[in-house]
Amino acid sequence: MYVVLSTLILLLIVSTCILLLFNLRNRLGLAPLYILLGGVQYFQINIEYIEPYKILGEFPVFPQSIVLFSAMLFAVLLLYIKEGVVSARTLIIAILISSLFIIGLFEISALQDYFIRNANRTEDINFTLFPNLNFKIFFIGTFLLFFDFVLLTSIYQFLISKIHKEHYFLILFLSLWLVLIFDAFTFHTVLFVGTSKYTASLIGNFIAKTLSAIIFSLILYIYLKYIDKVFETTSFIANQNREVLSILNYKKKYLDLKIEKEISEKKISAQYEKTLTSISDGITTLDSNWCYTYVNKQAGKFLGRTPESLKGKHIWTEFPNVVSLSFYNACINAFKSQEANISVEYFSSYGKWFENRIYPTPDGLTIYFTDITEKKEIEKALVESEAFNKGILSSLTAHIAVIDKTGEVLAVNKAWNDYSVKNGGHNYESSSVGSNYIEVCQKSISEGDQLSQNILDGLRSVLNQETNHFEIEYPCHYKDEKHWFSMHVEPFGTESDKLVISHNNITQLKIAEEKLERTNLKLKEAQRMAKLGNWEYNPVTKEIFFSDEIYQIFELDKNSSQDLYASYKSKCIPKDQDALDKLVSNAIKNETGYTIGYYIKSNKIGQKYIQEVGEIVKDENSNVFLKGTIQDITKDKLISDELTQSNEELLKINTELDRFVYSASHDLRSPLTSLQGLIQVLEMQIDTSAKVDKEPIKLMSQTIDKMDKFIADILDYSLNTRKELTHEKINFEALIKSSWEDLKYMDLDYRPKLTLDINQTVDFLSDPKRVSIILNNLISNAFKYHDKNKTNHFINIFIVVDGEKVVIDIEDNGIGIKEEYVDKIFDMFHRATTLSTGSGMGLYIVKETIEKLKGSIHVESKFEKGTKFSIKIPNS
Amino acid sequence: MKLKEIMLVDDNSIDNYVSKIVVEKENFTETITVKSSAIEALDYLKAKTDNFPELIFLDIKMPIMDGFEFLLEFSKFTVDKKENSAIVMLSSSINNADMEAASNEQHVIDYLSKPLSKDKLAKVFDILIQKK
Repeated sequence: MYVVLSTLILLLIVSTCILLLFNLRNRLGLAPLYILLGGVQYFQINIEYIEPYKILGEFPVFPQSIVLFSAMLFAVLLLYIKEGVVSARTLIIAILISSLFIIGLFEISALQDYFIRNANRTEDINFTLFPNLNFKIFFIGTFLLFFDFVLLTSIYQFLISKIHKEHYFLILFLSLWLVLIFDAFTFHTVLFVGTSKYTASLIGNFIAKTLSAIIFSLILYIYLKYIDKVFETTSFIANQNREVLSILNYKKKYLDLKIEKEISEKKISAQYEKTLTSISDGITTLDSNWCYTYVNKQAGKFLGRTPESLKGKHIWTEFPNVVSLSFYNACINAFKSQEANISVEYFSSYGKWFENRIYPTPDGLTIYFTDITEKKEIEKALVESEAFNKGILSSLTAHIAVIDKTGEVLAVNKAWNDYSVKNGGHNYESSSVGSNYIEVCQKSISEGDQLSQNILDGLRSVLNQETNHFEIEYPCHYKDEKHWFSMHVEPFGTESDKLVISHNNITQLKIAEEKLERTNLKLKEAQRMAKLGNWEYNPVTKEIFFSDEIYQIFELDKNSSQDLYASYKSKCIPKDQDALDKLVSNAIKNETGYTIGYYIKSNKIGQKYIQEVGEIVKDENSNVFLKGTIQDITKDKLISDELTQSNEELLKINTELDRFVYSASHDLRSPLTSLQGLIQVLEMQIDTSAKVDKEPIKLMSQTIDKMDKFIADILDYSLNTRKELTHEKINFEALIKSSWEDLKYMDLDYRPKLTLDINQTVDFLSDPKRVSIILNNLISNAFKYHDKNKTNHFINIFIVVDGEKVVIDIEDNGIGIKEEYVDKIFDMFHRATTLSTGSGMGLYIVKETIEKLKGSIHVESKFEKGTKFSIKIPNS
Repeated sequence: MKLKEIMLVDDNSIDNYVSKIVVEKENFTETITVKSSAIEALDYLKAKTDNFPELIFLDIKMPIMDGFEFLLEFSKFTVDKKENSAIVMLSSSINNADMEAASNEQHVIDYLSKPLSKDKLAKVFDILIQKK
C-alpha cells in the first residue's frame, strides 16, 4: 500500500515539476526542463536494479522506473504539442545527451576512485568497469528510448489527423499507452525472452504502464484543456497538419519552407507595395502621434508632395489648412472612437473634392482618399441640368402635358397649371395631373362640341401611329377677350404609347394676321384708287410678280395659264419696249433705279400711258432682281400733253408779242426820231437868222420827247411783265453814269450836283435791264423835278451792297411831293404835279419792276423840300 | 482831224437828210456818201478801188437786208480794205437785244439812238481819236 502511495507521490511530483517548468518557459526558457528530464533519465537508469515490487503478489515491476519513463514521454508529448517539432526534438536530444554525459561522468569518477585505491594499495580491489551499468541494457534502453520518442510523436500525429478532436483524451492516452506497451514488450523480449521471469515481468509492466498511461494522459489532458488554454487556437490546428514523421524530417522541410517563405514574402511585399502604389486611391497611414508612417504614390500626388518627404512628418503641421475642415474632426473621432469614419469634403487649397475613408488601426489610422472632383462636377452639372430643364419647362408659355394611351395626364408644366387655375376649368385645359384628358374630350363631345371631336380624332391618330404629328388651331374667347390657341400633339420620345400635348397661345399672331389682312386690303384699295400696282421681276428666270392692280391696268386675267411675261410683252408697243429694255439693263449694270413712261395697248380705250418706276434689289445671295411700281397715268398724260401744247402755244404767242412790241415801238419811234432830227436841222438853220421866236420849235421837240418817253415806258412795262429774270453781275457806277449821260441831253441848261457813293465789297447779281429801268426812272425824276427857286441843286445817290441785298437811296432837293399824293405816286397814270411832263407810267413801272425782283421801295418826301427814295433789292 | 469819207446807210431818206446836214455842219469830212439801202452800200464798197470810208453810220431796220446782215457781208472784205473803217450803229430801236448784238460786232464802235446830233457826233469822234 505504501508502495502505491509513494509511487503516486513520485508521479505527482515529477509531473508537477515538468508542467511547472513548462508553464514558466516564457520566463525561464526550456533549459531547466531539459536538465530536469536529463536528471530523471539518469535516475531511471540507475534504479534498474533495485528490488522490484510485485503487483498482485506475483508480477514484478519497478514502479519508479515506470513513472519516470512515462514522465519523459509525457514531457516529450507536451513539448511536441505545445512547442512544436523542434522543441520536442531538442528535448529528445537533450535527454539522450544528458543521460550519456552523466553516465560518462559517473563512470570516469568511479574509474578514478579505483586507480586511487590501487595506488594506495590499501586493499585489493577487483576492478569492474561500470559496475552499476549493464551495457546491454543501457544501449538497448537508450536506443529504445529514442525510438519510443519517435514512435510517440508519430502515433500522436497519426491519431490527431484521424480522430476527431473531441476525443482528445483518447488520442493522448492511446499515444502514451501504445508507446509504453511497445517499449515494455520490446525491452522484455530483447532482454528476458526465454527466462523464467519474462512472462510475469511482462504482465506486471503491462498493468503498471497502462495505469501510468491513464494517469499521465489524464494530467496532460487537464493541463491542455484547462490550464494552458490553447485548444482552439492555431497551434493546435497546425498540429493536425504536421506530417506523421515530422519529428524526423522536419528540419529539411523547415529550411525549404523558410527559403520558400522568404521568396513568397518578398513577392507578396512587392505585390503589396505595387498594389498600394498603383491603386488609384491615396493611402496614408498615421501613427498614434499623427505622424505619417506610410504614404503611397497616389497620395503624394494628391497632396503635392513626395511620399518620402512626408514620412515621419506630423500631419497637422504639414497641412495646417486642413485643421479647419470637417476632415480633421473625422480623423479625431475615428481615432478616439476606434470606428471607421468617412468624410466627403471640398479641399479648397487643392481645388478638389476628396472622399476620405478613415480606418483606425491599433497603432494609429489608415486613411484612404479618392479624388471625386470629377464625380462631384458631374453631379453638380446633372443637378444644374435638371434645374435647367425644369426651369425651361416652367418658363415656357406653352401649356405642355404628357398623357398615356388611356388619356391619363402624367405630367404638366407650370403654364398648364396656371392656365387651368386662371381659366377655372375650361373644356380642354382644366385637366391636371391624374385627370383623364380623353374623358374630358368625350364629355365635351357629348355636350355637342365639334372641336373636341376633332381633337380626340387627332389624339387617336397619333396614338395609333397613323401620323406622328397632329396640329389644330382653335379660337377660345373668354371674358370678352378674343384668344386663339394652336394645339400640337406628338409622341413622347420613342414611347409611342405616351403623347406630348402642347397648347400655344397664338392670339398675338392671329391679331397680327388679321391686321396684316386689313392692311393688305387697304393697300389693295389704295392701289386700285391710285391705279398703281407693284411688281417684282427676276431678269434671269423672267419670273414676274404683279399685284392685282397691275393685272387691271394691263387688262390681263390673273387666273390665265398663259405665261405672264409673254402676256405682258404682248401688251407693250415694241418701240417703247426697246427703250425700256435698254433702261433696265443699264439699271442692272449700274445698280441704279429708273423711271420711264410708255404707252401700252388697251382694248377699252385704245392705249394707255403708264409710268414705271424700277429699283434694283439684291437678295441675301446677291442675286439681282427688280422691284417697282406701275401706274396708269393716262389721264395725267393727257392733261400734261395738253399743258405742254398750251405752253408751246403761249411761248409762241409771247415771242410774237415781243416781236410786235419791238416792232411797234420801233415803227412808232422811227417817225418821232426823224421829226426830232428835222427840228434839229431847223434850229441849226434858223440859228443864223435873227428875230425868230424859237419857242414853238422847242415845244415841238418837248412834245416829241414826251411821246418817245411814253413809248419807252410801254416797252419797259411790257418787258417787265413778260421777260424772265436774269442773273448777271451789276455795275452800279456804269449804269448810273450811262443814265446820267442820257439825261444831260434832256436839259442842256440844268446841271445839278451829283454825289455817288457806292459801298460794295461783294458782287451784286440781279437782272441788269430791270435794275437799269428802276435807276433810270428814279434818277430822271430827281433830275426833271428840280426846284427852279433853288440855286444849289443836288442829287445824292448812296448804294450799300452786301451778300443779301443792295440798299439804294436817291435823294434830291427838288420840288417834293405834296403829302396827300405821296400814297398815290406809284399808281398807274398818276401824276402828282402839274409840272409833270411824263405819262404817269414811270413810278408804276418802278414799283412793278421792284416787286418782280422781290425788292421793296420806300419814299420820304416833303413838299418844296425834296424827296428821298429808298429801295432794297435782294442779291440773287 | 478831218476824215476823207463818211458813209450814211439808211432807207429813211429824212434821217439821211438830217444826218448829212449835221455831219456837213460840223465839217468833219471831205466827202459824204449816202446810200439808201444795205445792198447799194455793199455794191459801192465792192466797186470801190481805194480806201473804204473811215466812218459808216448804219441803220439796223432796213428792207431786204438789215444792218446786221450788212455787217456779216462787211466782215468778208479783206482786212487791208477795211482796216481803217469803223461803223456806228444809228437806229431808232431801243431794243436791248439790238444793242447787245451790235456791241458784239467786231467793227462797230458805238450805238447811237436817232437822231444824230452835234453832241453825239462829237462823242463818236472822241472814240475814233482814242482808237487811233
